[in-house]
Amino acid sequence: MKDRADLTLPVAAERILPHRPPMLLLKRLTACTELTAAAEARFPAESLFADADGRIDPVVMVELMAQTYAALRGYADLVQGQPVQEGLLVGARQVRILGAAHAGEELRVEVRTDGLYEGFALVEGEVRRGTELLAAGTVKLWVREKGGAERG
Amino acid sequence: MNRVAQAIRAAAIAPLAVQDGEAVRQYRFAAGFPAFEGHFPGFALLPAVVQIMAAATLVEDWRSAKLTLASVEKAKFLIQLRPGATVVVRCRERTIAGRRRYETSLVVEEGLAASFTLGFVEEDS
Repeated sequence: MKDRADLTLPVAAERILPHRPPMLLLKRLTACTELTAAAEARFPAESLFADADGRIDPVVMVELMAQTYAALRGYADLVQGQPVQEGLLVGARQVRILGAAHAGEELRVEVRTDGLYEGFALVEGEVRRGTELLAAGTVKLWVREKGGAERG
Repeated sequence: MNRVAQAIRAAAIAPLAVQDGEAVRQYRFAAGFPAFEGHFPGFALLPAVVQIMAAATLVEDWRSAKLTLASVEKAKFLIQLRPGATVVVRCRERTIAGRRRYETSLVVEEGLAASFTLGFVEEDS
């Protein structure tokens, strides 16, 4: 059995997410409750989503919110000694992208679960660079329940 | 241009066409498409954000303008897209609440794979 200290936050994202580079966009989970989570991201200059000037495609904001919620669920799995369950981004609504991120910048992502039903989660997310809000909105995710069926 | 945007444009298997006021382009996302790697190991799926980028690059090319994504609304991702998927992306310009938006659908052989509405800010040239 793993030492409980291994579960102390912050936890590296690769321990709690099924994603791997270059699509693992989070660096680590820094805070987590049953319904909320915070994570950090930093895009390297060689990221798939970085242009020659280091500007990161704004679409990643949606993925950052989704991966942070997935990290919340993955951490819960880890704490319970369960394998990390897979999940998918299945929707988004009213996501506003207010600013651009650049390679090397520390980004903070915060999510709050608004609702859970039948394997789906509605999640409010925000992405910040320091105190500057870069993106905010709602994403919908499907997470495979333990022992649950495939999603089509 | 980032590598994903480059790869999306390279995945086009037909030129951009405008039909009944809609921009349309067909893509094939082969196994080597860069965003399949790590998403996920052993079971590759085309990320939803790449589907959004496919529409965004289509609109950019249609409008011959450098655009920055500013909003994603009413997005639904309904079908998992695996390597080898052939996808038809359609974008139609609408004015919604006084703002220019692009209603988008992605269709595959099995049916509607995704739909969403995008808003952009046009960058200064």
